[in-house]
Amino acid sequence: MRDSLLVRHFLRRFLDNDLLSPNADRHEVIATACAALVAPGLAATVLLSFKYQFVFNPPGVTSLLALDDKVLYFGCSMTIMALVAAVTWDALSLDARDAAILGTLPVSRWTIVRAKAVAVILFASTFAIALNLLPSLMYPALLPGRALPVGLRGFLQLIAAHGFISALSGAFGFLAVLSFRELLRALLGSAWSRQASAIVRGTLVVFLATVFLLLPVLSSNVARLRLSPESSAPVVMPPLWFLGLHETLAGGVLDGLPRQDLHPFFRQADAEATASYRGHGPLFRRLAGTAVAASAVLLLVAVAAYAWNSRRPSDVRGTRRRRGHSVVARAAGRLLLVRHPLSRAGFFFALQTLSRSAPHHLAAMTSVAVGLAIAAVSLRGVDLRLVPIPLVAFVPQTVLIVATAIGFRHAVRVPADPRANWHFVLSWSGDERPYVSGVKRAALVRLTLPVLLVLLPVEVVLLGPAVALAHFACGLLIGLLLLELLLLDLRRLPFVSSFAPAENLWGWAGIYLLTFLGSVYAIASLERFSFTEPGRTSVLLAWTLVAVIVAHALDVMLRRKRVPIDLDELPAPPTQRFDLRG
Amino acid sequence: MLEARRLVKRFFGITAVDDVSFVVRPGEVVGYLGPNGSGKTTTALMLTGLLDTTSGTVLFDGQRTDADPIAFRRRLGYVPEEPRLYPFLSGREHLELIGRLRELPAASLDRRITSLLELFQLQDAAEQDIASYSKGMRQKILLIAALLHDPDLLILDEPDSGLDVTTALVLRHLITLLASRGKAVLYSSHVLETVEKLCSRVLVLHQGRVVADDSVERLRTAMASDTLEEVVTHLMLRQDPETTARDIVDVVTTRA
Repeated sequence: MRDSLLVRHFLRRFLDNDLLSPNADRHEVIATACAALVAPGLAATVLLSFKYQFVFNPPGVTSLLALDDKVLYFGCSMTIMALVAAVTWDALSLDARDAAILGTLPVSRWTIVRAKAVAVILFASTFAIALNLLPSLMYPALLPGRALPVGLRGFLQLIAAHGFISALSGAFGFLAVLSFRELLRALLGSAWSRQASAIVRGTLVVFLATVFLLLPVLSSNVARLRLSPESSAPVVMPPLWFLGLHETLAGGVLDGLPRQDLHPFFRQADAEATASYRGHGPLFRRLAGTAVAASAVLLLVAVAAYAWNSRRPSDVRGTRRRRGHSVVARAAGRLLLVRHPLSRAGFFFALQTLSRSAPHHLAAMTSVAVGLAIAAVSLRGVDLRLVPIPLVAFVPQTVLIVATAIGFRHAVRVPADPRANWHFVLSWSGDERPYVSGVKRAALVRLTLPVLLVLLPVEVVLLGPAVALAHFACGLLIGLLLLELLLLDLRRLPFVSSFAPAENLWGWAGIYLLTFLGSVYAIASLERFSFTEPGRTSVLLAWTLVAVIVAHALDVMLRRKRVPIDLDELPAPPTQRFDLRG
Repeated sequence: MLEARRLVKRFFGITAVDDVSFVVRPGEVVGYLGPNGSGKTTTALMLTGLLDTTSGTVLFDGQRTDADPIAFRRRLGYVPEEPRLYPFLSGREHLELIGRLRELPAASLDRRITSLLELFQLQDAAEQDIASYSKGMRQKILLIAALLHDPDLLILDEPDSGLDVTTALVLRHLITLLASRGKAVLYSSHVLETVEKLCSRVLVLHQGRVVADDSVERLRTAMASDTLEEVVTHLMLRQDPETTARDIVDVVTTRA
């Protein structure tokens, strides 16, 4: 009774996440999360099954084709579950609040730890089931098409194997992050790991989101590109381990189908595909062994580290800010001439919120991940040492700058903490211009400049110092221009006003994406054309600078008229947003 | 001078504050007393403009505060009942944010924050996240934030809540000194002993209505009581505390 009460309490705590607004409707959050988990899997399954439903593929070809889909499924399950663990990072073990509230009750520490562990397992299992249930039922059923006589036993075997391996991949992803977190705590101690947690979590989110977005690319042509003897993918790509396990458990269902009735037209292709598939048999068995061993080791490490860290209550001491951080921020502020008190307020508050508040940090990191993924896809298979320099060599920097600027626009619309808004209400002078100007400069320091500086050495090597520097300067100006343009119509106070979701975002998503890619390639073409001659370079930089100045002047002009900003407004209730008022 | 004129606040038809009027003059410390749920905090929120009134007006130096709320808030220092602060900022960073929003010059702001953090004995925790602060430490940050810009009017809603003995004594002297320098102070508290020592006048609120508004001496005389506690007991108590305590002990100690 007491155990189940504690488990229910901890499960509810997962919804008290930093990423949810205190005004959010929990039922709406759960419904949206379920829809977000179920719908993409369903849509992907339908799309992937077209090639089996509308085209006849003999057993060998089907086995080979399905390898790509399975890597995609297992990879998605793994990365999404790992992302879930990264997002709920702080709620994965008992924290200081739990220790303070539950520690005074006559309940043994191990009962509380056990309840927390059960809650984490239930939470992860629910997510994994919601994510994998429908694809696990539908995909194996659609895989053999209408023509392959798999039989009921074969169907059930395929469904069971797909479901089991998808869940195991998800558990692997979740456990990997959990083990990493617990090892970090065990090695660094509670206080230091809390200091490092924002950076570690941010880096993890960037890495996992990038991998997730690259999965369609990584899972194409698996047999030829990833399973070849010279490929290192079987060692570094965990989804392949689980593919090996799946094929070892259920690969025989399709591979063992009779071929004697096969139309002569398909015999040759099937024979080649079957030979190729069976050629990977020993590798599949090796990969299956790796999957089982790795999962077992991960489980042991996670349990041991979790138990070790749960020996004593969490350290309730807070995070101490390193003076170095504020020294750098102050130096950057001086350099960017942030002098007006309100500009300083906007500049420092934006820097602090972007780096320390979980939803803002996550928005920034996700935008970097999206940029990295698009950049990686555009660079795929391109030899950057070619002369003249290929167009795509100019793409990554612009993609990353545009992506981070869009992420920043989203971040400024999320309040840092609506409960503390009253400070702004009582201290606000009514002039948003200096404050917004400070916020933009913070974005330049926190997001645009790091991207440019990280890419600069790589570009010096690839493009040569002169072109790389011109590209850097152009990137800086484009970053400034974007920050001006993206905040031009925003008449809300960055990081303070209530979150207002964009109207019909999904309806416009395709157009936004096309505009995004079109603009990036247009800028890349312009850069490649201009950087061939110093004169053209100067003209491009001068015009971009003029565009920045014009955009800034326009922004100042638009904000001259003071609009009363209501900082107390609450977001519209869900019924109103869905227009269900009747 | 702060003047509340016939303030009324209703929430979903329930009257929280009913026809409350009073004046706080420069140099005056007015105590604002009442049991939990009597409408003290609602009144304070309406005075600051953080909550709209259902009816009634608030005037400061003869001007309606809603006519130019920004000008009014420049002269206002407020300590709320609930210490809501940005948890990811350190104490110093939070004060810097408030000072900058109030457009205080950088050099003097730094000096003032450092001195006040030292005087409130928060220098060691100044760089620590507010999330890890105790209630008393948060209260100190709120007090410093309310004083940073040298306001003419202070509205303090249970400012002594969670404070240690030393700081509570400092606060008591601080309020007296601020009043002696011409600041108007509205002081809401449950610590009647402090209110009795500090306040020149006392307002007693009960079920949203002002049931007494006079100096402590005159209230004592009128009620034939020795202390403010007895006055408040006469005005507010609808139950015998001793009987209630006995009933509680009975409930707690009765075995099922």
